Amino acid sequence: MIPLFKVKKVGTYGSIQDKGRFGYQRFGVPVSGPMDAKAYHLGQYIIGNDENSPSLELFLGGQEFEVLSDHRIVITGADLGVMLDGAPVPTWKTFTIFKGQILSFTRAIEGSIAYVIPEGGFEAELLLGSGSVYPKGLLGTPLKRDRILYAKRESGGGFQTGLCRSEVPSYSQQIQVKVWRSPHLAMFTEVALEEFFQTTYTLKMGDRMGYLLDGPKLDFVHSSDILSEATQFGTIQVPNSGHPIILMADAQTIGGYATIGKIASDDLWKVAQLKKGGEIKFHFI
Amino acid sequence: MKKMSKQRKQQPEAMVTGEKSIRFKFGDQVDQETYFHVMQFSNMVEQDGFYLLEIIVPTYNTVTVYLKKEPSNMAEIVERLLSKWQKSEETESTLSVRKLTIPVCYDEEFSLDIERVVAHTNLTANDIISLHCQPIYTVYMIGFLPGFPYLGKLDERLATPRLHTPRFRVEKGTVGIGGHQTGIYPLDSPGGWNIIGKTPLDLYRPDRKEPFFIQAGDQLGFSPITKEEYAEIKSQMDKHPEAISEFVTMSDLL
Repeated sequence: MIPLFKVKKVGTYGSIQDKGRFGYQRFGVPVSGPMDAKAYHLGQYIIGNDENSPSLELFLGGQEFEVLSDHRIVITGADLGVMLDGAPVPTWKTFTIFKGQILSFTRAIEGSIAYVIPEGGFEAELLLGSGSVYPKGLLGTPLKRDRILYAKRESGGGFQTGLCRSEVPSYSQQIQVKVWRSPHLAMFTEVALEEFFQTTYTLKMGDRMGYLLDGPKLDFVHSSDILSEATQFGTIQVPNSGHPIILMADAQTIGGYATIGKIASDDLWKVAQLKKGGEIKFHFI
Repeated sequence: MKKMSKQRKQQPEAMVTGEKSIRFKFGDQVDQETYFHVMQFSNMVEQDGFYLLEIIVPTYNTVTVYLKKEPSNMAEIVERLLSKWQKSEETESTLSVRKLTIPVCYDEEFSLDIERVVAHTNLTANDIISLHCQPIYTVYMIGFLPGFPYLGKLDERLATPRLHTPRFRVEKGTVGIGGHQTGIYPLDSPGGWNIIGKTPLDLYRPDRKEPFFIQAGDQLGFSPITKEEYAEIKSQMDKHPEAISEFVTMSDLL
């Protein structure tokens, strides 16, 4: 165990995530794992880690870390204006940080979620088989001031590697996503369904559990109440308020409101990277 | 082993709801027959154990099957499970279930909202306790919080509307009534149910060998205990978390 970072500022939100906690949904435990699986996996690939290596997921910037050991890391995902001792550093390619330096994430320039991945991954306590933090279920804690984050092992000091520019995802704030059909469509009025697919929704607010959308109120034939059934990452739930919520990586395992469908998995990273006010349009697969 | 009562086998509606998920739905009712089908179907899928199977999530009237990755032959998987269900024995199957006895202290120290329930139901506190302890509840599913059981069915006479303003924090182990439902909070959590008692058992401990005390399909009963017994069980559980298994017995489902 190598002390790597001391948390100086926690910023908006940050937590350790690995691939996720699979196999406990029937006990009410969300899968968790990365919000943007694409940036997470590309990062692991760039630095040569096992794909399940615990990584640090940061929301919207404001975080600051004191470097405690020399180590090789990679930062992927959103451009959060990352600086090392006040100078910009590259993303999507590995670089070496040195003891005593300050790594800071200043503001969300493009996208909203970034991953910090050290060579070998972070040390994380395995709870129910995963290091993914889900505080509500007593499964780890989010970033706290003065907490030390450890790397699993020393850095081997290999070559610096990166992704070629054309492979780097860009985080549009106007996206279109594909949707799998829900079994509850008959609960919505025809007008509501038409409206849903014609509307450009904007992101009102969100966290790891869900993204709330702003748009016209959708009407139900009777109400949105259903006998609770399974929900997952990407499920578009519409409570009686008529305003859709996209369930995200910490999605509850079952829900009692009608759904419109589930966003295609290969579009979820685009949704995750929306910022407040970002626009989203839906169409059925 | 008792045989299950004869019933017509219901063919579920199947729908692929995502790259890796299939939803099987058994009608629109919350009743014993639907519950039998959900449990039997869940058992069948689990015992089938095909290698792509990640986990199943049973609810009141659905079983959602999650796969480890997107298969190339989703339609075949759905067809195969449906036809296996159709061919499986109807009347010979038995379900062996876990029966849990949850000790609950209904002492006034723990029953913060009993007066509200008394006022709403026109029952005495003693009647409320005995009506709450009388039924064997079916655990239809777990959700909302890790380990939170959805139980059926609360005696209608006990139904009491939720609090107007939810409490910021309800302690783990709290037993409550919310509308027509009763349940136990597995974790400290905000909550709006009427608090009528507390169990010294930890329903959820991620560090325990069996992290979850209650599972979908269990049969569950409440048994009243005194404050002294509460303290005794609590200290025993703190010392020996695994001893919670004493509160489980196996029995055949009637």
